[in-house]
Order: sequence, then structure tokens, then C-alpha cells
Amino acid sequence: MKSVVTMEAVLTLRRESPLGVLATSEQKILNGREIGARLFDKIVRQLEQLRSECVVPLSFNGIEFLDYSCADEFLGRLVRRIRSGELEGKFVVIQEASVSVLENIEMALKERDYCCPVLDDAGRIHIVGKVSEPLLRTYRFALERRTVTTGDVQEHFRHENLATSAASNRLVALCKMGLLYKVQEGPSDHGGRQYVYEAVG
Amino acid sequence: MEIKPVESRLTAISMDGLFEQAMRRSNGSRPVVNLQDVDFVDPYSAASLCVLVEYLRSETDETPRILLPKNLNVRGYLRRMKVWEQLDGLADLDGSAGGASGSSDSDILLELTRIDSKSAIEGATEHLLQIVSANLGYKRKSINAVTNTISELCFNVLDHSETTGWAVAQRYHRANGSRFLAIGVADCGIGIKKSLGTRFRTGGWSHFDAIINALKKEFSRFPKRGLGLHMVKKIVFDFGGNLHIRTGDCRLYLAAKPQGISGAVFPGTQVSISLSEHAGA
Repeated sequence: MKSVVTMEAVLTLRRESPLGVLATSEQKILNGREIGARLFDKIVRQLEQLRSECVVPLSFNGIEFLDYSCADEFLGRLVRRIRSGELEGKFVVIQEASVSVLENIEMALKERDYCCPVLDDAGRIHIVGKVSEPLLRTYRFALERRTVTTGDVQEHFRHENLATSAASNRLVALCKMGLLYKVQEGPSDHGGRQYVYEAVG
Repeated sequence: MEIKPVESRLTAISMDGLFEQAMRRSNGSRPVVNLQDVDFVDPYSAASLCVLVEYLRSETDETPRILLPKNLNVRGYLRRMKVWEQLDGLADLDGSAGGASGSSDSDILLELTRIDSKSAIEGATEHLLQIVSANLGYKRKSINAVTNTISELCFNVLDHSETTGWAVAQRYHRANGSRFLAIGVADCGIGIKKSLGTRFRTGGWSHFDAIINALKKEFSRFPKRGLGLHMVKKIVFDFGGNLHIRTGDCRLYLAAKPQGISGAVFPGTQVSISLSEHAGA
């Protein structure tokens, strides 16, 4: 089944300049919820200044340690805010985090059943936190394509005999997780309407 | 009044005996803690000794006297661990606190550190991270696990105990060449049941119930929190280790299946953790 989108899928999410989690003068060891709460407040304030429909890299450069509680209070809350839509089309991607910091972020996010994209040094996006294998594959497909529709997913995963509803459910789920952004509506090959989703990353 | 361990090895199990003796003390006499026959002290016991001394001071209004171990290796080891330094001013140390450098089958990760502020926890964290960067043969993942454990447990002391505490960690080498990391964090505060009682109805709980609940995710006196002990338990399992948590009259031993051991009611919370350095690294 081919997807026919007669409107050209325009990339909507713009990439903003990275926000540094740590100010130059700040300590490099981040322990406990109080510091996590301060980081959350600081980053959310900065995100609120931005126009919506953007992806903001969060730079963890210089951070030597971030314990689970700090990661939970900071990133756990931030991802929850993104998932709820309260940040109105603003998304984050983690970058420049050390192995240990990323390990702790992942542990904290997994406990809340959350996940977040990470940009590695090679420019590739991967996910830390909790995401099922089918959703992860779908997200990777969306990343390759930049934008996808239900029809695209159904076609790409035809070997799984994915029903339209199942393909749609995957996209909706990824949207709720903050990994896809619903950008526009276009005609489907059924003659109806379908949504176009843009990958966050 | 003399408090003396029944065994020569001070561990989570034998410390129960010391706590019990402290609770059964007679009034009016200056407490004496007799460590003369001690030939081994694990991190949990090092931290718990400070808690014991603190308790005796507060209950008797006397400065306890500590009879130091006759074993010079143990005495020197405890000096390296800064146990005597921490007890200085809290107790009168009977005997020279010097001694031999201590045995070579253990490496001190974190000397006994008083946890009385966030900066103390940051200092402990920085110290542990320096060990990784010094490339002393520790596995990064193991040190990350130890650092997280200490950070979480120490913040529990500051956030929940309503007092201060102590933390200490070290690595041991077994005769078969394997290594394990041991951590002790202890306080003499309000204990887990009372801490959770600020948010939950704990009247019908035993201290065992309190520990079991505290280990559950999102079970905390503060809403939307409660990851700390839950994550500590996960780390212990990931590293094939074991965990003792003592509070009130119960010491919970957690390996495969939780096992609660009853003893005398003693204030605060004391935690012992050991992690296999090979597993999970």
C-alpha cells in the first residue's frame, strides 16, 4: 500500500542552539533532588522563551556526575512536561553526556517508563530510557524519513502485516512519548485524511 | 557499663549485639565500648560505631570511653579509615590510635565521612570520581554504582533522618582473586517507620513493613519521590550483592528473598551493602 501525500511534507521542527545544563561557574557534580529541581526550573524557563516547534539540544558538557535522584527530578520532570504537551511543541535531545551520566539518566528515565533521544558524538540519534522494540523500529524509520504517515509505516513494515490501526497506534504512541510531532494533515490514498508526523531528533 | 562484642568480627550481624547491649545499659555509669578483642571491622560497623557512640552520649550525658583493639593491624586500619578521627571529640579513645598501616587485602574507597551537609555528599562523590580517573584498576561501572548508592543513601540521611550520619566504602579482595565493594551508611535519626509516618498511616506497621515499603518505588514521605532505596536495591541485584537495612528492631537482609531478623529497638537507620565488582561491570 503506497502512501500518497500530495502536499510536500515540510520539516516543521527547527533545531535550536544547544542549551548548556551547566553554567561555567557551576559545580560539575550534581547530587540530589534540590539541584535537579533547580536545573528543571532553569531549563524550562529557557524553553518557554523559545517559539514552539523546535528541538533543543541539552548539553551535558562538563558534568562529571549526575545521580539518579537529580536525573529524575530534572529530566524525569522535563520529559513528563514534554509528553503532556505543556511545552507546546518543544522537545529536547541530550548531547555531550559522559557514559556514566547517560547511564544514570537512563536508569532514572526507565523507572518512570520514559525515554529521551540522545545525539551521540557521531551525530547519530539513539534513545535512552524505556521504549518497546516495535516502537523503537518505527521511530528509527521515522528518523530516516524525517516525516512519516500511517501509510508509510504500514508499507515499510508490511512483513509484519501491520493493520492500519496498528500502524497509526504506533505513531500516536511515539507522539505521546515525545519522539514524534504531529505536523500536518494531508490526503491519504483512501481519499480520506491522515496525519504527517515529524521525527524528533 | 561495658559494651563488648561477642564476636571478634564486627559486621552487620554482630553490631546487632552491640546495639542490644547499649539499649539494656544501666543508668548512671559511664559507657565503655570494649573493642580490644576485635580483629575485623567492616564499613557498616565502622559507620555504626559512630552511631552507637552518638547514641550513648545523648542517652547518658557522658563521654563514652572506647578501648581500642589490641590488634595493631586493625587499629591502624581504622586509623586509615579515619574512624578514630571521627570519634575524636565524641569519645575518649583509650590507647594509641596509631598502629600498623593495615592489611593489604582491602582498598579504602571512601574514608569514614560525616554526612551533615550537601557539600559533604558532593565531597564524597568527588572523592569517588577521582578514584576512577586515577585509573587504579576499578571498573567504571562499579564506581558509578557505588557513587550512586552513597549519594542516594546520604541524601536519605539528610532528607529523612532529621539528623546527620556517616558513610564509608571500601573494596576487598577475596582469596580466589575476586573483589567486592562494601558500603556502610548509618545515622541515629528518626528511623524509616517514623519518616514514612509523616505521609502514611504506619501505626500498624512493624519496622520490617517499613523497610519493605521504603524499598518500593515511589514510597517516600515526599510525594512523587521515593526512587532512592528502590534504585539502591536494583544496584545490589544488578551487581549480585546483598543488602542489610537496620531500623527500629529489625535488620532486613536482602539477597534472593528478604529476611527480617528481630533485635533490640535502636534509633535511626543503618545500611550495609556489598557489591561484586565482577558482576555488572
